[in-house]
Amino acid sequence: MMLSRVADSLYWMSRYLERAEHTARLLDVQLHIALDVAPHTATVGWFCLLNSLRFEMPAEVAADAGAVTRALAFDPHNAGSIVACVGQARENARQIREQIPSEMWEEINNLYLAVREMSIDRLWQSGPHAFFHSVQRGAQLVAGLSDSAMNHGEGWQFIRLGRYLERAIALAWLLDSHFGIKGADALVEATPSDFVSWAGLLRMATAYESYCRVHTVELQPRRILDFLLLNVEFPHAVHFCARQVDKAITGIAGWTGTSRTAQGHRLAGRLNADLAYDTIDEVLANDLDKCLNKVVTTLAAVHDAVYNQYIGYTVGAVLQGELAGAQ
Amino acid sequence: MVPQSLESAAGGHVLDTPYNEMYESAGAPRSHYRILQDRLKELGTEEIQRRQQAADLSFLQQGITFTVYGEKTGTERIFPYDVLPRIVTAAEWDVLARGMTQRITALNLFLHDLYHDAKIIADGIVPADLVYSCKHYRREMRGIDPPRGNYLTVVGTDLVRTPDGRFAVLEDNLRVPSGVSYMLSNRQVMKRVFPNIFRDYDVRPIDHYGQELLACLREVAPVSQAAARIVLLSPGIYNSAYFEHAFLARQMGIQLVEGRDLVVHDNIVYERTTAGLRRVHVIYRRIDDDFIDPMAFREDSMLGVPGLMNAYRAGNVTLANAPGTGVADDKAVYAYVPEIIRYYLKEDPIVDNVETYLMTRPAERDHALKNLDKLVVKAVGESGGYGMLIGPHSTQTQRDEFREKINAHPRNYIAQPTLSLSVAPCFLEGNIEPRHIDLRVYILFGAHARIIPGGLTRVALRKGSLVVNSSQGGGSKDTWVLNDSPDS
Repeated sequence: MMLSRVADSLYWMSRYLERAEHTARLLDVQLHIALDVAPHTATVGWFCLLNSLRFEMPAEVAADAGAVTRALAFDPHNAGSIVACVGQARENARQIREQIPSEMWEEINNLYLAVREMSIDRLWQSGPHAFFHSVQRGAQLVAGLSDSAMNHGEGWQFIRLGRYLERAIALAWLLDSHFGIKGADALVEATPSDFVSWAGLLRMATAYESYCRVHTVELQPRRILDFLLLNVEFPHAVHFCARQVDKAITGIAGWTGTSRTAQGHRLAGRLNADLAYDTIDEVLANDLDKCLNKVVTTLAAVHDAVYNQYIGYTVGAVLQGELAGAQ
Repeated sequence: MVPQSLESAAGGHVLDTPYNEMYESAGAPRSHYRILQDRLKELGTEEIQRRQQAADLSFLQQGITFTVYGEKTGTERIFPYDVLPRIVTAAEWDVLARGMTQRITALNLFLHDLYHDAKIIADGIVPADLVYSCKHYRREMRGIDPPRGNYLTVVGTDLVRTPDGRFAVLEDNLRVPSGVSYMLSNRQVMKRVFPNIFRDYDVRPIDHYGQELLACLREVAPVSQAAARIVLLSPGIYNSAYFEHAFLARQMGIQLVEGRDLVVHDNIVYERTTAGLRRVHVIYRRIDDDFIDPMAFREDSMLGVPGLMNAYRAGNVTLANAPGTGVADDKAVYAYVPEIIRYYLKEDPIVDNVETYLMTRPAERDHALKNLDKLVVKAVGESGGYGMLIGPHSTQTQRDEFREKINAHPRNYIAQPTLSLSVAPCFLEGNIEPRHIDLRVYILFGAHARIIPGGLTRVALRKGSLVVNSSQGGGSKDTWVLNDSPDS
């Protein structure tokens, strides 16, 4: 049992860091790809990237690497930009500085200071890769510290929940936009010209090397989808994340004495089971779109359930529940 | 080496020669400072310097710092700390402890009376308009009976030593006194930096402050002491005293909460936890009256808990200190404290007040206005050294400004003689020099008074300065209360 406010801050600190890391990686990979491909392909790539972050920009600037990078990395008014996410993560950490290891606070603060010092002009001068790499590394350091320097108690479970819930949704959107844009054709054997963009997708999920180790460098769309959706061993696969969400919720339920029939518990458990027993053929037969949509809506419902159960509950509901329990 | 300048008075103005804490006369330390002087001579300046640096580093590493906002690097500064201890003898402390017990007892009775029958006003001891014009008087408190009739759980009283060597009360802090975390951490650092000198003296411990405070909070709970759930209510991380709030919560092992962590339902206070609502019985609040409940006081307050005053009125939660205690530390009401002590306890005050002129009394106001260059003028509602005129250090323009203010709002000001605060040796940039000091003593009151034998000695670090407030360039030093005089 801990203060709801503290749980809330831990959860959001973790979600925002995961989001910053993901956006930084997408920009890093796409800027790299854009160097290798024809202008038309690069344009498709930028649309795809914006779509996977569910971020809308006017069509005339959506293929402009400079404008997109500025909006996604440095625009403080865009709540999803790297600078905004890191700022929010730090603000949440600041509220609970007493509750997290000081090394963790220091790394979040360092990341914040580094991001705040960077601007779009300086980015092009110093090379975008170094910066986006440092953002990813900063977020990974904090995540690593939470695992190695923190009590794996209830607070840690909220951090874990935030990280994997955010990551699972981001991955579902990423798969949706890549396979959606390419349509049914996407699932036939990849042509050499597609190699760059399929490798890009894997890199956006830090999965390129892991995929190659399992399936060799023969990039087949169906295998890529299988790997990023249903793999249970790879930390940037949707199933792996859903399983972590389920474990975190089970952990929190244990600490708070929540019933196993509580909404969040049931939803997370069922999503994990579905992904565990689905095959890629079934997923494709039942429509990939639907499957990814279900992942996202289920996780959104898990978030709501966690909120109603642990953080934003109404006083009346809780007292009624207690009365009912006492009878 | 201890330089000769240590034995001379600080400052060159018209004041009486201040009491020297260490020296009785040139070259002759008071008996309880003799060992300290010998040890300092043995150590030598360089070694003392080294230890001062170790102390500073220790404060920095423990994070006992102020954060200076607005600077890119997030600069953190320590509260200036002087390594030389201030020593108080057993006999001196005995008088202070009895005096403070007497004072808190009387002030508590005074508050109870003011918020019930107000007999002291009916009997003509304290004027009605003085009380009812005080902005810290809370009508909402009338008729409320706090557990044990206790309004004041934590008090910090500021004392000064006058040239004749006697302690006098400069002001009482009866609302949310702060600084005790510095008293406790100063001692921790001191024991590490000067273990040998510390061992040479028989110093009374102060580390049990957290336990004593928790015991007092339990004693004023509205339910059985064992069942009481106690929390510390802080305004949050943006408050400059947040370090102290977190420190005290840790020392007591209680939860630090903010207003948004608490909810009131059917006049019961709960904290929101991940396992649902948990009832709270005692709130050690570090938020001013104005902000604790937007429904009762300032409605724009985001820091407080809506409905808290109703829960308090219903007797379901204890607030420590009680709301409305500020009426008794109003600087004009202060002038009446000796009479208040005589009225309720039928005793003479053990520790005196500082002579105070009330601007509401024409004769005293005339005297003050004629002597503004010699007096200190204080706004009654301010603290922290703000809103003050220090006559001997003032300009004609400042004096004219205060003259106008006093004439316009006599109730808002008091005047006192410029006190020649006592001086104690301080280690400043490699030299030992005398600086003016005062003493804040912390008094806890639950079922009975508990006084921690120590305090926060505040130092005016600027040469000749009489202002010891941390917001105005003050520092602090450890305060040793001895069990017995070392040469006896």
